[in-house]
Parts: sequence; C-alpha cells; structure tokens
Amino acid sequence: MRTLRASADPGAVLSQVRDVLGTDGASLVGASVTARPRSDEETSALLRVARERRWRVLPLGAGIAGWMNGAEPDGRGLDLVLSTLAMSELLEHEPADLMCRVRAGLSLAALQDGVAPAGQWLALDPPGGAGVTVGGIVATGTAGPLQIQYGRPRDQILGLTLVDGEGRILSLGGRVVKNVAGFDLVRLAAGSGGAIGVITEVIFRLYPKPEEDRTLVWSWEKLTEAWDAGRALATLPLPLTAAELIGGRWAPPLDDSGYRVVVRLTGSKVAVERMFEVFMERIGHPLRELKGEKSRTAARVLSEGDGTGPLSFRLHALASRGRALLPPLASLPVERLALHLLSGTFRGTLAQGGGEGARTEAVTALRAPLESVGGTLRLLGSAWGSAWESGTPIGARGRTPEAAEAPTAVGRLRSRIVSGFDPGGILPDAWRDGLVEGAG
Amino acid sequence: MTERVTGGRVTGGRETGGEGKLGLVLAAQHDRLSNCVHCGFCLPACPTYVRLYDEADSPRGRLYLMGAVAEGRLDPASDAFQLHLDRCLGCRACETVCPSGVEYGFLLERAREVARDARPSSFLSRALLVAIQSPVPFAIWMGTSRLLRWSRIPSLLVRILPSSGMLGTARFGMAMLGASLPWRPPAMRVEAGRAVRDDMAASPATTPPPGPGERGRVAILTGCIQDQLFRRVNRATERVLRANGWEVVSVSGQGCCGALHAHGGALTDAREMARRNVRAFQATGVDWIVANAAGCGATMREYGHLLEEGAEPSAREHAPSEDASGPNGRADDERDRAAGRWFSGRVRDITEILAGEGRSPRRGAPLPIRVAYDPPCHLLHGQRVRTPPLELLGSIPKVTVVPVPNGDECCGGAGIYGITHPDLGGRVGGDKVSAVLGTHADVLVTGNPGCAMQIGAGLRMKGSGMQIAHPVEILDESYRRAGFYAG
Amino acid sequence: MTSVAASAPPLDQSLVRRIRSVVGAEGLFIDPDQLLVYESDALTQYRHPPSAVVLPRTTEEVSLVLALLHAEGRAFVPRGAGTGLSGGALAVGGSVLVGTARMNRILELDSENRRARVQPGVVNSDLTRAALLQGLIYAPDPSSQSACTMGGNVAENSGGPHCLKYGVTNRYVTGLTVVLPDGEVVELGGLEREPEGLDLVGAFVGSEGCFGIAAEIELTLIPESEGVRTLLGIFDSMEQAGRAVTDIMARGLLPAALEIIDSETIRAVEASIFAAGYPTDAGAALVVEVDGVDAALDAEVAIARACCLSAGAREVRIATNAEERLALWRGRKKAFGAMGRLAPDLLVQDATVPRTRLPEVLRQVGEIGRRHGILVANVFHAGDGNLHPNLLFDRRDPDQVKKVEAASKEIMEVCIRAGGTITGEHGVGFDKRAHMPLVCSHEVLRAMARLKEAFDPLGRSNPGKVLPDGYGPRSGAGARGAEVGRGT
Repeated sequence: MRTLRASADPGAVLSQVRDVLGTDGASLVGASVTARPRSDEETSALLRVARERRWRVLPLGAGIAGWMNGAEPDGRGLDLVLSTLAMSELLEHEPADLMCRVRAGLSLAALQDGVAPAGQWLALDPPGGAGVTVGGIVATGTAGPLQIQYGRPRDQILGLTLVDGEGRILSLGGRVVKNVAGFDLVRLAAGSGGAIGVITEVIFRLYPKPEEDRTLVWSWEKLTEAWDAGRALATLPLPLTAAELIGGRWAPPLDDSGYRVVVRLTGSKVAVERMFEVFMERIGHPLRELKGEKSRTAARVLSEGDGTGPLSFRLHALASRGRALLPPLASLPVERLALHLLSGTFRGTLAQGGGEGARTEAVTALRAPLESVGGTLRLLGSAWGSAWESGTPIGARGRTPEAAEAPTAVGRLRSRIVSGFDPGGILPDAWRDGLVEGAG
Repeated sequence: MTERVTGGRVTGGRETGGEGKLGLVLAAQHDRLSNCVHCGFCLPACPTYVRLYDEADSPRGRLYLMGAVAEGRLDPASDAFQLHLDRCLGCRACETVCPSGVEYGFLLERAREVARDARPSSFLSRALLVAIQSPVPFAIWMGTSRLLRWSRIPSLLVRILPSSGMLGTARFGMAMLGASLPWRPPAMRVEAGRAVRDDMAASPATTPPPGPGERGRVAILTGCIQDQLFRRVNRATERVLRANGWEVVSVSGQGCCGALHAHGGALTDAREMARRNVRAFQATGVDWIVANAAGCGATMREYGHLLEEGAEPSAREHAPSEDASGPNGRADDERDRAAGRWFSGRVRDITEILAGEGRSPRRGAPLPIRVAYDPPCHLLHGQRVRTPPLELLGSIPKVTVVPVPNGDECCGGAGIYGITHPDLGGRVGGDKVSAVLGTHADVLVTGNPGCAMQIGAGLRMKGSGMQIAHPVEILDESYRRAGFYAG
Repeated sequence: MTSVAASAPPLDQSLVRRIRSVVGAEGLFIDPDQLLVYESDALTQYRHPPSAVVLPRTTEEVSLVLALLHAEGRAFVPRGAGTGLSGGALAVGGSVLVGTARMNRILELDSENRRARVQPGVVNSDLTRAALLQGLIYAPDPSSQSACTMGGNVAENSGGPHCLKYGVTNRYVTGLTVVLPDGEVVELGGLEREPEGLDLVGAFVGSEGCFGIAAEIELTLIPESEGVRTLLGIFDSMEQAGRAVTDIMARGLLPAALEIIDSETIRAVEASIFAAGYPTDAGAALVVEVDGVDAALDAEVAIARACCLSAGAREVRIATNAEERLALWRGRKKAFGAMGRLAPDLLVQDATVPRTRLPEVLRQVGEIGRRHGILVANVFHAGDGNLHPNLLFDRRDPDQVKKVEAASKEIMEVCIRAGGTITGEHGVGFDKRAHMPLVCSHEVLRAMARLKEAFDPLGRSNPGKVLPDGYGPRSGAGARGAEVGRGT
C-alpha cells in the first residue's frame, strides 16, 4: 500500500525554503528542515514549492502532538516541518461579540491570558495542556474533560483559514455563531490532522467565565466501585462541566490515593450550590471539595496530566459498555489513568520500564474485552516500539486500520476528499497512508 | 385530459379552471388560498398524510391543488384533484395547527363543489345525501333502522358478513346501527340513595337549584339523524338545560343542518337548509342556539359565511333555482345574510352552555364509572371547543375521566367517510378503536352521532362491549339519580 | 421571481416497474397532476415539479432506488417534510424526488449513552417527545419542529431559538449511515468509535442533500433542564431592546433564548387571530428564556429584568407557569404565520451579523425597505445575531417582485459588510446560490465543489443547489434531468 518516496536532500530543501522565506525563515532541525512562514502568503508560497518538489510536509505547532502525524522524533521520514510558531498573534478580541481571532501558532495559554481581562475564556482543555497551539488543537480536534458541557474543538470554531496542498488560501466560515452558507469545510478541516492543509488562523467563540468553580472528589479503593458510583453521578440530569474517573499518580490537588471520581461544577453561585446539595443527598460517601482557584488548578491538572506521554494510549467504547474494560485496565501497570464518565473515552499512560514484552502484554490484555464491546484502541506515544505493530489489530499509531488501507467505501471517500485538497500528496495523510497513491 | 404548466407554458387540455366557470369558485377565494404560506406544519396533523405519506393527501397539498385549479393549470376533473380532495376526512385538525389561520374547512367545501360539478361523485355518497334530504325516503330509512337496531339482526350480520367488499360495507353499516343503541348505566346499589344524599350534602358545590329559565332562553337544533336515532340525546339535552335554569324553546320548521351536504360540496342544497333553519330559529329570538352534535354545530357557526356567499353572482350561476326563489330576490338575500350572521353568532355547543370559563353545571348524584372522552373533530378543531366537555364530565361526582391517547386525531367517521372510504377510513378508525380499548373505560363519551357510530361500530366488530354515550347523557343520568327530575 | 422549470422526461416503463418492485405501489407517484404539489417546498417563489416521487422505507430501499437511478443517469432530490425556506427540496430540472416520509421510525433510544438512532423521516418534536419519557431531549428546536424531519435538519444544519445556548444540529449528530448517489452505503462516525481523522459526519451535516441521503442518523440527547423561566420586555425602541441584550450577555448570562420582534411584527401579530397581548405602540419586544438548575433561575431572571429596565423597558412580564410562558412566546412563534396574512407573499431573509452590529444593521434594513417601498417586519434571534427580516409583497405585481429582489440583495450586502453572512440557518438551497460569491471567494467555492465531487462525482444528488453556476462537478452535465433550469 505504502510507497516510500526517496527523501529529498535536506541541504537542498533548506536553500529552496530560504529562497521563499528568507534566511531566518528556515533551519535544519535534526534530519529535516523546519520552515517558519510568517503569513498566509508565505505559507502558500512554501506549499507551492513543496508541491512542485513533492516534499513530504508535516505541519506542526508546539510539537506536543507531533506523534499523531506519524513523524519519528528525529524527523526521519519527511522532508519539511512546517511550523506555525512564527504566526502567533492574537489579532482581535471582541468581548461584546464573545469572539476572538488568532493566528494558529498562538498557544492556548497565551490566548486565555489575552481574553481573561474581559472575563472570558475559550472553553477547551485538550490533552497536552496550555502549551499546545491553537492550530494544533484544531488540527487534532481532540477534546478534554470539558467536552461534556462545551463539545469538541470543532464546536468552538466560527471560522478558520486553511492553506491547502496546492497552496490555495481558503478563508472559511466567518465570525458569526450561525452560518450555513455553503458546505462545511470548517468542520472538515477541524480534526483533519493536516490532511487537507495547514491551518493558519482561527476565529473562536468565547464564553463568559463562570461566577463559581467547584470540583468535588470522591475516592474508592476499587476501580469498579468508583466506576459504578461515578456513572451514577455523571448521569444525573444536571449540567456538569466535567466528570472523570482517575487513577494513578496525579499532581496536587488531585494527589489522593485510590480511584477518584472528579466532578466539576461551574455556573452561578446558586446553581453550583444547588448541584452540590443534590450530590450530598445522593451520595453518602465522603468527598473533598475544591473551590475557586483550587478547582481551576484541578481542571488544569486533569487536562495536562496525561495523554501525551511516550507510552500513552487511548481506548474508546460506548460509555455503557466501559465497565467491561475495567478489569484489564486495573491490572495494567499504569502510571496514570483518566476515564471520561460520559463519553466513554479512556486515556492512560503506561508506567515506564518493563521493556517491549510488558508493552506487548498490556496491549494483548486490552484486546479481548475491546473486541467484545466494539471499541477502539490507539497507542499514541513514541515509545511503544514494536508493541503496536505486533499487538494492535484494533488501532495503530493513532490511526484505525481502514484509514490506512483504502478498500472500504469510507476509505475511498476519504481518499477522494484528500486528493481534492492535496493532489500532489505532500500532506501527512497522503504520504503516510498512501491515500493519494499515484496522484500528482 | 389535464392542463398544467410545463416549461413555463400552459399546454394541452380543454378550457377549464380559471378560464372556465368551475375555477372561478376557487379563484374567488384567492385571498383565503394565499393565506397558506406552504410551511408544512399541517402535515403531521393530517390523518391521511400520516398514513399515506403523499403530500397530495396533506392539507398543504390539497390547498395547492385548489390553487392550481384556481390558476387554471389543473383540470378539476383530473384524477389528482378528484381523488385527493375526496380522500380528505374534513376533520380540520390542520386548522388547529395552522400558524396562518387558513380556513381549510371552508375552502374544502368550495373545492368539493367544483370537483362534483366537474365529475359526479360516487353513487353511494349521492344516494346518502339525497336520502337525508328527502323527507319520505328518510323517514322510511330511519324508521326501518330504528326497528332493525332493536332486533338481533345487526349483531348477527356483524358476525356473519365478510369484512371487505360491498358486503363489508353493509356489515359496517349494521355495526354502526348497533352502536346507536342507548347506553346502559350501571345499576344503582341498594344503599345508593343514602350515598347520594351523603355525597351531595358533603359537597361544598351544592347550591340551591336555579329558578326556571333564570339563565335565559335557548333553542335546540334537533337535527336529522340525531332526531331519528339519538332522540334520547335531544331529550337529555333538554332536561339538563332545564335543570340548570334555562328555558328551552321548541322550534318548529327546523330541519337538517346541511353539514353533510356542505362537506360534500353540495353547497346549493346546504344553503337551502341553512335558510330554512335560520328563518325557523330567528323567529324565536332566543339567547343561544344549542347544538349537541358537533358536526351540526360547526356548520351552523358557518351559516353566516355560507349565506353571505350564496348571494354572490359567481356562486349563483350554479344555483339558478335560487334566483327564482322570491319576487324580491335581492332584498331576501340581504335579509338572509343578516340573519345568517345573527344565527352563527348565537350557536353554542351544549357543553359550552353548561361548562367552561369558570362555570360548571349543577352537581348531581355520583356515578361511579370510568369514561373515556374522545373529542369530535368538529368540536375540537371546527369549533375550538376543547375543555368544556372535560369540565362537564369532571363535575359529575365519582366519574373518572380518562383521555383517549392521540385523541386529537379523527376517528375516521367523518360524516359518511367510514362508508364511502372503507379502506382508509377503516385504517384511521382501527387506530382510534385500539386507542379507545386501551383506556379500559366503561363508557366512551363523544359529542357527535357520526363519531359515536363509527367508534361504536369498530368496538362492536372487535367484540368489545364498551358503552357509547354523549356527555349530556352522563350528566343526565347523574341528575336522574339525584332526583332532579322527580317532580 | 417565480420561475417554472422545464420538466424532465417521465420515467420509462421499465424503470417504473423496477422502482415499484423495490418500494411497492404506494411508494411511487408518477401522475404529473399529483406531482404538482411537490413543485415547491416552504419557499413558494419557485416551481420545479419532479418527474416522479419515490418513498422508500429502509436504508436498503434507498440504496436500491439510488442505484437504479444511477444506472439510468437520473438526478434526484431528497425531501423530508418540505418545510425548508431556501428551495433546497426543489426538483430542479425535473429530478426524481426521493422522500423520507415513510422512514419515520425511531430505531433506538439509548438513555444510558444519551443517544438516539433514527430514520430521517422522524419529526423533530416526535424525537423529543419520545426522549422525554427518559428525561432527555433533542436540543435543536427549529421553529418548524412540529413538522420538520431529522433528515432535513441534518441536511440544513438547522438552528432554532434555543441554539444560542445549546448549539445547532451539527453539535448533536454523531453518526450517519449515508447512501451515496450511486447507491453505495457508507457508515460515518458513530459514538462507538472515537472521532478521528477527517470529520465526514461534520462535512455531511449542512450539505443540503447534495452529498447523498442520510438513511440513518445517530444523535446525542441531553438531559431535560430542571427548570425554565421566561421573561418578556416591552421597549419603546429597538435600540433599547438591543442594549438590554448586550447588557444581559455582558453580565455573563447565557440565556437559552434571546428573541426580538419589532414594531411592525408586533402590530401584525396583534391584528391577527394570534394576538398575544403585546402593546401595539411598542417599538420592540424581547423574549428572554433561561433554563438550568431550577434554584438558580430566579436570580438569573432578576438580572435579566434589571438589564431590561435599565435599558429603558417600559414593562417586564415574567411567566410563572407553562401556560403564561406559551403566551409570552406566542407573539414570537406565530409571527411568521401572522405576517402571512398581511400580504399574499412574503420572503424571509436569514442573514446573520455579529451581535454588536445588530442596531446599525437593523437601521439600514429599515432604510432599504423604505427606499423600495417594501414593508419589512423583523423577528430575530438577537443572541446570535441571526436576523429574519420578512419582506411583504404580492407576487402578482411584477414591480413589487423586482423591488423585493433588489431589497433582499441589498440587505444581504449590508449584513456582509457588517461582518456577517447570507444565511444563518435556512441554507443556501436554490434561492441564495447566486449570492454565494458575496461570502465565498472563487477558491473557496472551488474547494466546496471538490468536496461535493468526492461524494457525488457525477453531480446527481440535488443538482442546481448551493453552489453557483459553474461550480458543479465536472461530469455532471451529462446526467439526464440534471440540466439546471434558470430561474427568471
């Protein structure tokens, strides 16, 4: 399926990129060239050159999720890293319209700092923490604990600018909350992992910061006990902001022992107090209450704490079937574990050490229950080694098999879409998964 | 055969529609037709659409076909116009959900007039309408029916006749006849007398009986089929009104209200009947004209419209006989129009006279029964009377009222629809009967003879012994037990 | 404005036979007279009768029908309840109309995972009614929710008054079984799988029937709010109402709905049989609805009330029960119908602007109406800047029609200049396709055409919609019945 293209000579790539971006626009990092365009026009010019030369391009933000795109840590297997870090301005913040316009290289932390003085925030907490870039959040489309109240990144985007594999600058969507003018290319780009282009600018919807922020923590010895109690809490008909079950080692203030159910409540003081009362009525189990700044810290720990380590993995099943996955999870040597109690997405990081054998064993242990409940497993870190090749029929390297092999109808559909935006096959989906074999 | 717009041009067909006189009746309704903004809110409310899923069998679709005839691009004799208008139950559930207030029922009657002028309606429906209108055959028909229903013949035929075809229609007719029999209230227990007194003494609502006629004067429309097969309902209406302090004036010279004719598009006949009734009732000068059959009440409320239009030249073209109706036709017309408006403004359903808007009927004796209430479409949608029947029933001690699930939907009776459209009417009726059976009530209560017979026939064919009654019959029984009629 | 398109040739006998063998005799209509009723959706300015109507019952039947049409080179148009306001369900060029009315089963209500799987013909409010038995609701509530179908909601990415807080359809669609235009069935997304890679579900939602037919839809449900409160503010001027909205949002409230109706609309409603008791000399009425944890709502209502009063409201009414709530809403909900009675025809605009630009845009809309001598009445979702100016006219007067067309285009241009877009929730359909270049560059339109082509390489699914002429799939011109009739 996958045809390996011969790598271009890094020296030649560097000089050709510098022709477009100037000397300080590119440098050699490891085995490949990193280019830092400063504008849509430079990005476009760069991609046109890449298209002409058939380079394999990897768009990258802070690099925290770089593994998702299949890049090796040392940059082997690609010709050009297109970094968005030189485009990192907060261009516009319109508090009265609850809207901001930012460049893709801006970090989430900087964005939040920028809009905080107006009492607003971007309701996203993707894995990787506040260091991730806006472009990275949108391209990976990954959501954190907040998703149960606010949805995924795609739900917070009003518009974005995409430079596609032909270097065409596409300004998509707009600055209004409701917009159905034409087909939804914004949604297509959000979560596309760079498959159809490089995201250079995003317009987000913001929310007012809640008056009250409170996190409640209950601890249990056994995972199944915690799960049952957590599911009962999370499915109460209340507007919860987050509902997670965590295990393993977490930073303070979530450094309790055992398995912990963490519920975050936000809103007006009265509303939070009322929800708190409901929990007190329903659950006799002792709880710990974190208020205000402590609650916000707990939220940050939750989103930063895992999912990006070298041995991290993600499991997904219908939440109602998640219980079947608990026994193998409890037996794994995990460093950290976080289960979304409503969405059925389980994130974890395997403890370091134990070697390849232990990793393969861990994967095998998860296989049977996963197959029985029809879920997916993805090994995300860079240190899994051969474990994912030998032991992962369900998912590998962040991709499910049908994305890599294209005989299915959905695969063909994806392939047709990708080749419409990247006919030269220079963007990750094409060169990694062979989606645009023979094109260009 | 037909005429329609293709490629922006009118092609084919003979001169019809807007260019012919048939379309004029609808073209004259342009303002009423254009009130429909085509939003489609009526689709889920339409019993035929939710069974056939064809928009031509939805209110919006039928209005569109009417519009096409008015515009002259559809032949009123076409299969499409004839079939889809004929299939309408006329339940007017669409009017209740219409945000634009389209007068669908009114338009339907005009469209049916156009349709039947373009192509004669079926023999069966014509025969039924003629029979109702002609005194002698009607008397014979009804007399035979009254004799027959007390015999065992109807129930025997229901058992042995096949359920489809011509004989199926006959079987259904027999079942309807069987369903017109009076309800049998539960026997009074021995200690009932004491219980009655206790209950009434304990009730804070007990008030001294109103003096005769202190509420005002009313007259009752006795109707045609109501008068023949449901005379007991008329009697009960009269007794109950008197017990509530109304003076009931008897009106001679009244007759059939013309509802079935109007629904079928026989507007000329309907107008003639309307005039007769208006004249008969006007002479009495009553406060209210009381209807106890929902279909009649709905039509009588529209006499104003009907007679207003009767004087228009376009409509008179179809009614040459009316021009000769008197030496001073124009003055008569004007008088009729004024009288029609007066009449329509005075019509009330019996349940509205007794209950609703904070009023409730005098409290009678307890009646420990479970009744299911099914609103007749011409009361609920046609007259927008939703709560008074429920309030009336709810005022009777010990009566448990249960709603029929999806009760807002038509029973499929729709005048003579159950007979003329056994298939579709049967499907609609079958769903209603299942819903009614699901209530496990002792008595099904509904305020329209057609609905009573349609649902009753369905119940009988399913072998159910559930009783059928009019709301005032329940109240009447409560009063009888309370001894209000003793003196 | 009224356009009547050329009819495509009728289906030939063998195709009729084959389609009948799939859907049965009650599932295929070919009588041209009967088909007249399908020539428009809820936008009646255009008339395009289909060459046939097919009503399949299952995914398999949809697939077989589309495969038969594909083999014959016939284009098709999907239709739900035909409640759309952009002409999206017009059978342009006499396409075969594939209706979902008989596909009205709720396949699964899974309260544990808060999801539902439905066929596309399920009516929006029927889904919520069924879900409520388990304490859940389907959040998006387009004004036509009592009639519109979920398949139509997916195609149009429908909104509604409550999407200010809850978001529009695409937030709730998690999976789709799509029948592609050649009859092939693809499963997209689904809660059982982790979302990853290209969001094909997101791309399909809002594709207005141009990418195939969604034959099964998986949706997320949310718990019913514990409580809800509704408040009505009566203002002397639109500016005051606008200020109240800005204040409410600035105070950090996120109401479930914020709706404004203007003085023209108030007068229309009060003159109709739906009179809601709004004072007819008022300049604007604002409906505010908050929902959530019941105990907190009185405080939120108090804030909203204070905002209204300080913005100059002459009167604030607060509903205390369900009946009063309905009464406060009546003026808003019945506005469309009430205006239907002011003039024989009405054109509803759907442009959206950033909320802060509302006052200035409304002023300009008023001026445009006055300049053309067209009565414009406004109802709008003030919270998200979605305007619905209603232009009233009589289509029998060609002069008025011209003025309405001109005014309509000017309104769109004003909205775009204010940073807005031409359609917030009604879709582009047939009506606004010519205006797409106002909001999308040539490159973006080409990109949209490429996406369409990936789903529908031959341009057979709902031809003549969304994209302006010249942006269709390359090979689409060859399809029989797909030649687009030009509206005049």
